Amino acid sequence: MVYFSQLKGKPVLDSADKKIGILVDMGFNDGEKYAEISHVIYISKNNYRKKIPWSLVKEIKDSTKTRGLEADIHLNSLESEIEPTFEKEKEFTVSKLIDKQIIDVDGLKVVRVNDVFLGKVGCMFCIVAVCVGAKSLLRSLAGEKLSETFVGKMKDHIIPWEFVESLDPEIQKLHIKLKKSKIADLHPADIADLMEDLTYKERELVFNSLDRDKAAKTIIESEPEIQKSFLKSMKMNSILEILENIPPNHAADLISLMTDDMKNEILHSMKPESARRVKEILGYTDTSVGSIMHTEFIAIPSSYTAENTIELMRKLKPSSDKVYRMYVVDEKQKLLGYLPVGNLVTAPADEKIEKLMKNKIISMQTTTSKEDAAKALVKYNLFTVPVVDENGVLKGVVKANDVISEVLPRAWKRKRYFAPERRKHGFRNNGNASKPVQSN
Amino acid sequence: MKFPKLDKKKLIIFLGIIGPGLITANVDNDAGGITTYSVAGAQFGYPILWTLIPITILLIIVQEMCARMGAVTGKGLSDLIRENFGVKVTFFIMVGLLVANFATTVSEFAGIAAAGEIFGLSRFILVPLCAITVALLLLKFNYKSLEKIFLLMILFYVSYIISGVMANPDWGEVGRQLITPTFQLSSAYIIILVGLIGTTIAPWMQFYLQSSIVEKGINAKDYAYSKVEVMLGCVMTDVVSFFIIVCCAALLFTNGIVINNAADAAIALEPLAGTLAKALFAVGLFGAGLFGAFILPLATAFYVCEAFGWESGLNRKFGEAKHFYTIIGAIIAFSVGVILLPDLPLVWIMLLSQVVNGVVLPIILVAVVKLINNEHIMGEYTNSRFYNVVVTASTVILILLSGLLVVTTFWPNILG
Repeated sequence: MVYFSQLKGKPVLDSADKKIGILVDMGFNDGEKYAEISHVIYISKNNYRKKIPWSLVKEIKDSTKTRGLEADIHLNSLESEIEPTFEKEKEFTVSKLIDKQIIDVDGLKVVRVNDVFLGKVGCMFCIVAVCVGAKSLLRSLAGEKLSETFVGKMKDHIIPWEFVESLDPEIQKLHIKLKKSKIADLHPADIADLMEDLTYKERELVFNSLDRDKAAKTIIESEPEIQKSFLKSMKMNSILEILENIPPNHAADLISLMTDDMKNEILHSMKPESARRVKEILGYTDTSVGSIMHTEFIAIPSSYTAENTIELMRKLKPSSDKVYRMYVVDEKQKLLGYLPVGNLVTAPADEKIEKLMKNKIISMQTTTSKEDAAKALVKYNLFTVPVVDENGVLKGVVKANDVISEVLPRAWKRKRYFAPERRKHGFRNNGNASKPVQSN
Repeated sequence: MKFPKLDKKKLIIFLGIIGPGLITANVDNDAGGITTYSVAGAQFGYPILWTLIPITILLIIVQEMCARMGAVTGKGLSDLIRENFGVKVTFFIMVGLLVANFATTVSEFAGIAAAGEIFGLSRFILVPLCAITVALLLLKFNYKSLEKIFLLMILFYVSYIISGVMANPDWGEVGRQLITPTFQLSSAYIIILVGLIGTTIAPWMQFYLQSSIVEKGINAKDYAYSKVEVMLGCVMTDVVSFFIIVCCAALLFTNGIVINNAADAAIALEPLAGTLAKALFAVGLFGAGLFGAFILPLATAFYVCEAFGWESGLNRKFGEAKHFYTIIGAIIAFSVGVILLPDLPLVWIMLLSQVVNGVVLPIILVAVVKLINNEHIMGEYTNSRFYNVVVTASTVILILLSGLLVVTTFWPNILG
């Protein structure tokens, strides 16, 4: 195991121990868990940057035994047998990672890379981790000896390559092509948090690596400022695609951030049915529950029988959270009560819904304020509450989580609430990464 | 250069992006700046006025480039310096700026203390009070709300415009001197000239402007509007400087009164122009000091964290951005400590700040010019060839002057 900073600037020696140049960089192939080093890039004696495949390297060894952890690069061939080539511009190299920001996918942070940690994995020489802590910062500033003297015992903060998401445009392009962006596994709410730490260009880069569904959810979870920057940088078609694929209340949220011109254009290009729903929500004032209610819900006519209802369910195939609360309405769509799932499935087939439903139901007006809605949800221990207009017609459903995120102070949300589980049974317990040891 | 044409819709966009340019340029007239302008006016009178025009142009050129980099890359200046010049250069610049900004913050609190003493308020009450206010506001508010407070604080400077008008100068003479370049080959003149440029174009401003452009979410598309704002800010700040110089020239220079700082100026104004003039000058100084005391610790924390990859931003809570808030807190606390010391080494600190700024500015200017011409970073937004000639010339002038500033600080009599 060795740090890149220990190799950079070190002599590259051929099999007769003749110096052929000085190592300046290393090429690599990106991989899921490790990134295999593919090339050594050195500056030859006549000042050209040249590269040779890693297979020519025999060992990395401290030939003088006096310089501590520093090491020379020994090749397995004579200088005359080596045929170096020249670098291509778009290659991945280690030095392109240094000093740059990366995403720590596990710790959900954007951090700056001070050094790169290399080591043998099987028979390959790989990037195993990147160093982002104070120790590696000091090492790159003051050199090996000084930092060992002062903070030798200190542990450096390293991030296993497995959890490193580079923000280099080339690497991102590759990730998109291979569909293996490490970010894609995160929860959309976590991705949304990360977005705040990125520049608008990096945001686009990361956003484009997500599939459509995840991208849509990430936008929903983002703060209005971030949403605005997405809307600014995205093409009309992609915006439309996202708006058609999210619930109307979230679509309305996004549309309300747009300029008037853009709003009109979007509403015109949307499917008429979706546009109508969005417009209805946009009609409610910002502070009322009408603006955050879901307009997709199950409303069963009171004249139905249990069998009719179950047939309807089979046809609609609703998600289970909608089945949890089914509402009962009369022929004018007025809210009459709700239908507990238990009552429905245990009832005889021809039992009328009127008989099965509970008619004591707490409902709210579309004009109720969000704060009042939050208080009511807490007071009556509810997860959802139906929303009706002034005539008692069922208009939508407000969910507790939507209300909570509206009334909670913003800073509360910015934290990851999953235990960073993966790191435990991943890289660290192999025991080989805790301390760098001299390679032989 | 292209400017957007004005209509109602564009005006709304413009109002949306307003903030970074105006604030950065105006904080430029901080306590130290006001001292320099007052002394310049009292010592040399109207003939020093013409220098404001080239200074404004230089300021616009430098600020425009930083604003453009912020908008195009979405990254702060220290971010770009770290990524392109490596950790050692970055570290050197950061240490320099930390020292210089600390010293500048001390001078802001010194301004507050001096302004308070004009009104008979003890510095032992006023300075800690202001420091606590600054610290609490920075800790409790997010950047968006603070930006509004900052924009309001610009109103403090109106007091200088009023004092300038109240001084009742000979406007014909003022106008003539403003457009007539003159030069005196004396050490005192050159020191003042260099001081004027030094206080106007300071290293920290370039970082602060770029970071706040990024924080505001301004991108390449909005940039045309930001450019207008940056220019507006630069012109505004020098209009204020103009009135300070005019006021001191009209009343102090003509009466041969020698002053050493802005507080002297305020006191000297009283017998000549009345208590109101004194009060206006003092209020302006207080406002400028307070404004600087907000911005300098904030700016420092921003770019140090950026450079080393620590979480930063006023939208974070303390636990999320420890380094960021620690830097702000430490700068404020140490500055107040220095101000409240019985034997205040203020002159020393001012000199330190001048020298460090003078050493760091050339490095930053060279970095800015290199970065802005890097196509990998700026894409199609690099400088045009003509603009590059202008920029290079300005950079050379600024480097020479800042070198001169350092030299004259150590050997004030070198120019004879």
